[in-house]
Amino acid sequence: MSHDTASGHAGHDSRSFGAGAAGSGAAGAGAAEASGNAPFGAGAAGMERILHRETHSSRAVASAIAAVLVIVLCVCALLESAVRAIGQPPWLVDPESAAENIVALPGGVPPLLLGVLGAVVAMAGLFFLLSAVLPGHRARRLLRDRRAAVVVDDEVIAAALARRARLAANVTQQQVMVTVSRREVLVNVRPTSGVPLSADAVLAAVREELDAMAPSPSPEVRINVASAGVIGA
Amino acid sequence: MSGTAGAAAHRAAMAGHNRISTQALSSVARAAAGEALGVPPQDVRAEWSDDDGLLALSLVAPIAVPSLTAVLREPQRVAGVGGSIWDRAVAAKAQILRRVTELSGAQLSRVDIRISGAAVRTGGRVR
Repeated sequence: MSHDTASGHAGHDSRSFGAGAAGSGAAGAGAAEASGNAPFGAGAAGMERILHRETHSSRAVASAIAAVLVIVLCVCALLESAVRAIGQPPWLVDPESAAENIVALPGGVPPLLLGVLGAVVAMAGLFFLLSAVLPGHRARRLLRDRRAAVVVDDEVIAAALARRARLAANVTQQQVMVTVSRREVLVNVRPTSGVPLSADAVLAAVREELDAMAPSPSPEVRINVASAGVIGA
Repeated sequence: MSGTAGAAAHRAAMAGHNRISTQALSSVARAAAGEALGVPPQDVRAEWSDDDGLLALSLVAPIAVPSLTAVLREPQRVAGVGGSIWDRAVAAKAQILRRVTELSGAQLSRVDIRISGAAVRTGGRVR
């Protein structure tokens, strides 16, 4: 389900929903309403900030880890330098032999340990790099409102669209599946055997619903009607 | 989600969902086949499958035939019941397809008939 790989951190790629949950009133139930979170006097800028925080994932944990790592390294370097400056024996390892060890690295270390260490360091580096570079969008959208800031999970939008598509296609809940990813809404419909359905009508209905919602950012709608139908549904 | 009047009107027009169960479709098909082949509906077995979004019906049923002694006595009896078994099965396909489509509203693409036996019908002339 992760066809939007650029959409950010793990687990936040895309959300999908069958129409099943739409009938049970999920539409709107999961909407995270951020109204009233703004401190008094925060104004439009404060609201924008809150909305940005709601729709983007936090980098606080990654940056805290990175900061702690840098602090530990710096403290070690400081200690070793100080200890050497006053002519005392090194605390853990003196800077010169540490540098020599690093330069002569492939020698003297078992290759397995070396490989594992390299893999761990590479994974950590990739984690930090990706969390820094990727935009970190969460699977949420804004519904513009004059009075309140409304943030809606993509699942809720998918449920609402699935419900609309189901009504337009006149099929059961199990025959519709809607996937909402960052840039695209994919509507999968399996028609009932013997009852041809018009993909254009369903597409128009879904577009109309999406336009009425006007989420930002607004995704493109695509429809996929299965060739095989469901008997007796 | 949308509170617009247009969407509300649409919803009112399209409220609810009707479905015809496989069981009901099968009963309709068995009745139509029984009628077309001249046998009671409970002797007909009907199975549905999907044919590229349309319904495909396959039937297994006996067919009513006049007794051989009656045919010997008056050979025009065969033409009276609609020709050979093959011809009648071919004709029954179109008839069943039309009837089931008209009754259920679902579009059938094909009807396969397998004649599993002959039900000898004594008594009066057929039709």
